[in-house]
Amino acid sequence: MGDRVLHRILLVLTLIGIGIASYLTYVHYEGLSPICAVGHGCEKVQSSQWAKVGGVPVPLIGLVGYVGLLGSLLVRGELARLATAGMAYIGVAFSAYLTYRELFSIHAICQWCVGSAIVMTLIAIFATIRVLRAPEFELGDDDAPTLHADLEHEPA
Amino acid sequence: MADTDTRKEQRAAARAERARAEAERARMRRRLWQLGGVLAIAVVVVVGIVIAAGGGGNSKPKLKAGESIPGQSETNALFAGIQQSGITVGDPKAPITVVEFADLQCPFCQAYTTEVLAPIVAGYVRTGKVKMVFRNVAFIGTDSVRAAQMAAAAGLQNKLWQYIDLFYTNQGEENSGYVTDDFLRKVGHGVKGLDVEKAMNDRGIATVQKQLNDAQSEWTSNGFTGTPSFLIGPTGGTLKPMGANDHLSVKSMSAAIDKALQQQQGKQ
Repeated sequence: MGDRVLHRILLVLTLIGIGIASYLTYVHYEGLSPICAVGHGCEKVQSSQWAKVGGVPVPLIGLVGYVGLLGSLLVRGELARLATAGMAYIGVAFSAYLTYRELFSIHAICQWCVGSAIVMTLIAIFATIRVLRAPEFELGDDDAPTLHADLEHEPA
Repeated sequence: MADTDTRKEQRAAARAERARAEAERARMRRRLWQLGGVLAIAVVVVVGIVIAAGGGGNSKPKLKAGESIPGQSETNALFAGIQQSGITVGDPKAPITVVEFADLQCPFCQAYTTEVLAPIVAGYVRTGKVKMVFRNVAFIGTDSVRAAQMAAAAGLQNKLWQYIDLFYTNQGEENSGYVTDDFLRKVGHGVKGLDVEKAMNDRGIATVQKQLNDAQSEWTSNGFTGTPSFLIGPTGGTLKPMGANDHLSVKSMSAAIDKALQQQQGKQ
């Protein structure tokens, strides 16, 4: 799989993620007042005490994360690739925590949230492959040392 | 000559190939280290967020001197001297009636009770402007039902409002099985003047069951699907659903009640 294909896949996945997060954020703010609703699934999850982290609704956090991922995909270079992977790792870890809460504390599953968790996991996998398979910077002998010097200043 | 040249070229090519492979391995190692670093940062970030959110959001009230359960003094002081009858608190002739539909396990009902209710009781119920009715819709789980039965039994002794107030203050994790007999007794002992054992025994009686069934059907017949939900209107007249977000703050709740009071005065 070439870098361009990986980049395309990541872009598509990120856009799907933005779609899901936007929908859930919209639903959250669209007058669905904080109530404990009848029935299972999304309403129950979204109205639970874990639907907010530090007062910020979880879907909004997800949306910010996906937009951040999109931003990192629009920038070239090794640092941007690493940033994509890093943000995706944060997303996966956060999704894992939320899924744990859904299963063991809220006892309800929200299919949109699970969808987002799967998308985020795929992004993390492809972003990792993309970092490892990144094309070499053989842009001529003059450029190479500069690039390597730059890389040494990157945070690990 | 040609032979030597070819061999030289081959050696050079092999050297270049080795160097390239070595560089490739080095690059791979570096990238794995970078990814590992990024992963470590990600884990730290998420653990930090989760701890910060969990630690800050749900701070439990503390037990004060002379209390057997946290929140006891505030609850008893809030309702002291206000008339209660079954599920109703306030002057029976108060011009406005507010009906609350709630589940004792619902976190948003808890938020309403702990953040909004007290100033409303002090400003409107104690002053005889509003009477409030508590309709217990136990739909979240068996813990809700057990809690609702005990609250209704406390209502038979006209102590329902203290009981639910104190219950919300000490609300536990949803459907975790925390509503045990011990827990119900503990909340009961915090309510001044409640005969806890009598209430425990009254939980199973037909009056209690009927009251809970009635609450459920009144809730659904008003088209509600969640809690807390409210009805407001003139006492003895037609009650209407309150705005979906009116219960979120003392300000919005007061505004809704003021509006109802004005309408009522306009008619007289």
